[in-house]
Amino acid sequence: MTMTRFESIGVYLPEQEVTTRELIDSMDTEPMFDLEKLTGVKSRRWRAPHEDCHSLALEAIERCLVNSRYEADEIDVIICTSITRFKDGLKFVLEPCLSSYLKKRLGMREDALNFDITNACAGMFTGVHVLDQMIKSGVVRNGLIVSGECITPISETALKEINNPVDEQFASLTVGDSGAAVLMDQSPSDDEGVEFLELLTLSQFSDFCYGMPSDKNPGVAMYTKAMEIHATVIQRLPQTLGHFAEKYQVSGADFAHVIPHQTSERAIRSALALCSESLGDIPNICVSLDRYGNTSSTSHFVVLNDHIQQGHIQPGQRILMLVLASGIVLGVASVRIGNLTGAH
Amino acid sequence: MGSMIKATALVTDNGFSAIDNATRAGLDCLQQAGIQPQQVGLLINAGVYRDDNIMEPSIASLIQRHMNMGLDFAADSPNQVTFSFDVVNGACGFLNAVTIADAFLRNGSVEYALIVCGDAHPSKTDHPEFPYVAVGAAALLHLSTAAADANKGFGPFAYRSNESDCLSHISTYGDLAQFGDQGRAQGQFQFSNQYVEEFRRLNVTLINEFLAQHEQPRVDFLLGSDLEAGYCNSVCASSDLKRQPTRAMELFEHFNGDPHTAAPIAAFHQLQREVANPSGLSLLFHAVGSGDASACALYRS
Repeated sequence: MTMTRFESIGVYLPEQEVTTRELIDSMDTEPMFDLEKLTGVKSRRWRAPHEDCHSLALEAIERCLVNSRYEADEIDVIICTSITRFKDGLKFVLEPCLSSYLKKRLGMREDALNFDITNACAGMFTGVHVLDQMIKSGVVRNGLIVSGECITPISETALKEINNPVDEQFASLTVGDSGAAVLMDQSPSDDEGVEFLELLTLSQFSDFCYGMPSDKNPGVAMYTKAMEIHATVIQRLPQTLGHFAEKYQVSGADFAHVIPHQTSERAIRSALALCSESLGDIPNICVSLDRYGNTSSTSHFVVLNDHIQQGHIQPGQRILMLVLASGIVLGVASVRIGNLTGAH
Repeated sequence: MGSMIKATALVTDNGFSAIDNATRAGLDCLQQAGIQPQQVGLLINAGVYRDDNIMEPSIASLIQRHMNMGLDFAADSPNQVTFSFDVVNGACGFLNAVTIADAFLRNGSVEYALIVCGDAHPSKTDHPEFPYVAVGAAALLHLSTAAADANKGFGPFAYRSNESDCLSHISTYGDLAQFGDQGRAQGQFQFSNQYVEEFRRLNVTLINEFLAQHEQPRVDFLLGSDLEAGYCNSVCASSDLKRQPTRAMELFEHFNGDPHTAAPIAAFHQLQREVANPSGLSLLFHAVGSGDASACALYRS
């Protein structure tokens, strides 16, 4: 079976920076802990008043297509994968789906497929998994996965509602807005591609993190049982990684970098330290959450783009990507990176 | 050889929670098939409307938990896991989900894929403004290796969305600024005056293109979207299906409303009740809805 690859990526980050200090200073109830120190999030990007899920997604797609050899009318499917579905402020759209608007705006072919996927912070990777399978089965030749994630409305609700030093909404203060897009096609060589990718849902823990409208204010809130997630789900990471390491005969030393989901730097490092028993040496851990926060469904691609721009990640390197999302979704991908941001 | 429907289930009398309805349909479907939840590698929810307007986790993961499916790692069978997510594309969601599941099955990535559909008002009540009937539906797909099934199953598929200036003749959303502290229990539903006409035109265009592209295959039944009484029949009558004795499966009158994302499964379920031996039939699944988009797929049973 041939490999698929990331042919190009595009990331858009809104201009406005909001620091964790600014957020904490605006709260009535300060956390019992130093949020910046605990999470490593110093700043995040915040959408402008005119920006929404559509506009963040379009900005990311435009950047992706500049880096791609494909034109919009050559794309066979567009998959929109954000958690949030906001348009024109706090209006969340159920029909039509977000991808139908993007397909039309891009001028894609009428017979190109489009659909949205919702899978919490695993959204973009679920899109990658689905598209990988669709290209391998021959139903499409290529496709575009995009997420315009307008997630800071949960921070606005948290700022209004947190009244408890260990409130379930504290994680809502770590998020940042972004758009990310990745174009995938069949890999032309063994030197780049998605070598393996597995995702699974441990549904026993599906109620550990909910995002939904607030029942106290106009707006949307996220309620995270952080302690429970740490006590149960994080403990399962070594088992997950160990299983994949054995199945695919790989160890940490086979990878140049690991890109984990960007929750908190301390949690990431302690979780990966736990994994060293099953994975061996842990490769270089990529984080960008100090500047961009947790960008939820786009996190791996925001980090990938950031570290390519900084020259840390080079074409030809093999990267381990770790997925962790509400559901609870766990996942592992081994990706050999090609030239993702240079013109093809 | 394409993915085959091993079993379907339909729940019509179970109240107004989309999660509860899909869960019961999923469990009924597995029971009919004699399959344990742990054997399902892929669970896709294609319902659009979400209990309490939940944005995360996926509705599929909540249904998965209610079905006692893939709750945690099984120490004795580490490869037996379930992956679940939601696919959202109005009425076309089910056929999009079949396209996805078909890829996973053909690649040998999973042995069984369960697709659940159905919609209900986010308030989980019989809300007078909700434009669809609350049902739960499930279809279990697998790839048959039996020689007799070589020409059976789903395929080919077709899809088209409209390039007209109007983005969508159906627009449903929730304006949280307006809802105050009641955002979990509200939705807004807007249908243009001509949505049925516009959808029929798109639906017929796609079917005609599909029939022409595949040398006018025999179609015994047309199964899927039935937007108003007589809609599905009118699609047969105004498309090239009129050249053959295709029968439209009426749903709207049967359910006293539109089962929306559940329509294709509901129609297949109805067919099994009406036709003693559906083996050998050639079925055309179709869907049309917001976007505006239409999908269809041939299925040989």
